[in-house]
Amino acid sequence: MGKSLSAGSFSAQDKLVINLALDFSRHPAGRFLTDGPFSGQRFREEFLVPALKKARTVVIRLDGARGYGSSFLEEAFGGLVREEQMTVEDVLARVRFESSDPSVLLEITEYIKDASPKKSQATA
Amino acid sequence: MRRAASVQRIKAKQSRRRSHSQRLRANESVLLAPGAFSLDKAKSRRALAVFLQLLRIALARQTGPVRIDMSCTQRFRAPALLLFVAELDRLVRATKAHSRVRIDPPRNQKALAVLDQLGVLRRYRCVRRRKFYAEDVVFWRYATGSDVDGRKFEDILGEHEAKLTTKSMEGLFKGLSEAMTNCHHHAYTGTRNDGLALSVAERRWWMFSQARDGALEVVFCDLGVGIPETLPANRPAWRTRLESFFGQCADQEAIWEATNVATTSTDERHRGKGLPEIVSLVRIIPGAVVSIRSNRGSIVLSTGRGSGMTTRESIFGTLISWRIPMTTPPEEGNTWANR
Repeated sequence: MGKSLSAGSFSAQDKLVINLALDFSRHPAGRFLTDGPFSGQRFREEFLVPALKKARTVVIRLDGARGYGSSFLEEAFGGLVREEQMTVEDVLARVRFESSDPSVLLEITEYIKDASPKKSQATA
Repeated sequence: MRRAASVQRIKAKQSRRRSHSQRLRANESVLLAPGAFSLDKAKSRRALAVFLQLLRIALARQTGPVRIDMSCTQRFRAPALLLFVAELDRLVRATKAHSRVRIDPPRNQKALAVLDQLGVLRRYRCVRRRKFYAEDVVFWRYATGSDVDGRKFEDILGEHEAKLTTKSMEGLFKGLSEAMTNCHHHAYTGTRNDGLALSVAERRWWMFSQARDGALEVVFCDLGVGIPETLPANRPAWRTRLESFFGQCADQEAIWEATNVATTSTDERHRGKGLPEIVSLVRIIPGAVVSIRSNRGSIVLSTGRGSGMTTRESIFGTLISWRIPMTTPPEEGNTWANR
C-alpha cells in the first residue's frame, strides 16, 4: 500500500461514476482479497483508487446490489483512510455516494471517520 | 461347451462379488439415526449428539464401510439436519471416505422427500432412491462453499425475492455475507474440540433455506472452534471470568457478549462488527427471529426479546438461523443522495 492520493494526482477529468452493482458485482461481500471474489479490498484497489487517480470526484452508486455487509463497506471506504493514506476530509470531499437507503450512507460515513488514525489513537 | 464355460465364468464372477460384499459387510459399521433430528428438546438433542459422535468415530477409524440407517427417521428440523449434513460432508472430505458411506433411506415419505430434495440420497449411494413430491419440501435449498461468495445467496434465496421486502432481502444478504466472513476469519483458527484432531485446511460453511408456514428460515453452519473459543485476544482472562461467574452457562454468556462487542480476536478496532450485524435483522424486520447456537450455548432474539441457554451437549461448531415473515414487497422509494 502506501500510495498517496493527493489532490494533484488526478487528470483533467472532473467526475467519474461507478455503479457498484453493474461495474463490480451485485453480490459484494468479504473484507480481504483472500476472502472471496468481490471483496472490499478488491473494490478499493481495482476500482476506487484508480478512479480517484483519474478524477477529482468519484460518485459511487450503491443501488442495485443485494446488500452491503459491514466488512465490505469498512474495507472499501474506511480503507481509503487506513491503507491509502487519504485524510478523512479528502475522502468525504472527493467520494460521493448515492443510495435509496440513507442508513447505508450514514454507515459508510461512520466507517470513514472511524478509520482516522487520530480517532483510533484517541479511543485506544 | 462354449455356453457351459461362459456360465461357469459368470458364476465364478458372482461368487467373487458375493464374497467381497460379505467381507465388506462383516466389517461394516451400522449407525442408527435418531427418529427426530431436532435441537429443541433435551432428549432429541442428546440423541443427535450421540449419533454424530458415533458417526465421527466410525468415519475417522478409516476401516470398512459405514451404513447410516435412517429408516426410522421421521422428522427433521432445519438446524439439526444441516448440522448432520455438514458433519457428514466434513468427515467425508477429511477422510476421503465417500465410497464407504451409504444411507438407508427413511421409510417416512416426507423425511425421504427432504433428503432427496437436498441431494443427500444421491451423494451417499442411497439403496432405494425414489422421487417423492411434497409441497412444502420443494422449497428447501442447500448450498456449501469455502470462501465469502455472495453469489451463493441466489442459490438459496433468489427465488423468494418476490415474497420478501427489499429490507428483508438486504438484511439477509448482510447477515449471510457477514456469517461467511466470520467463518473465513475466525471459525477455523484452532483445532476443533471433537477429539478427532482431523486436519481440515479449508474453511467450509453450509447453508439451508426453507419456506414454510408463511415464513422463510435460513440456517448457516460452520464446524469450527465455536464463538466461545474465539473471544478477543486482548481479554485473555475473559473466558476464565465467564466460567467463574456463570459456571456451565459460560458458552451462552460468551455468545451474548460476542453479539455486543465491536472488537474481534484480531484486536483491531475497525473489525468485529460481523456478529452484531448478523443479529441486527430483528431490529429492522418486525416479526424476525434470529438464533445462534455455538458449542454448548444458544441464544434466541426477536423484536424486543431475547433468551438463552447452555446445554450439556456441544454441537462443536456454530449454527445461525434467521426466520423472517414472507410478505408482498412494498414499492421502492426514491433515490436519496447524501449531498
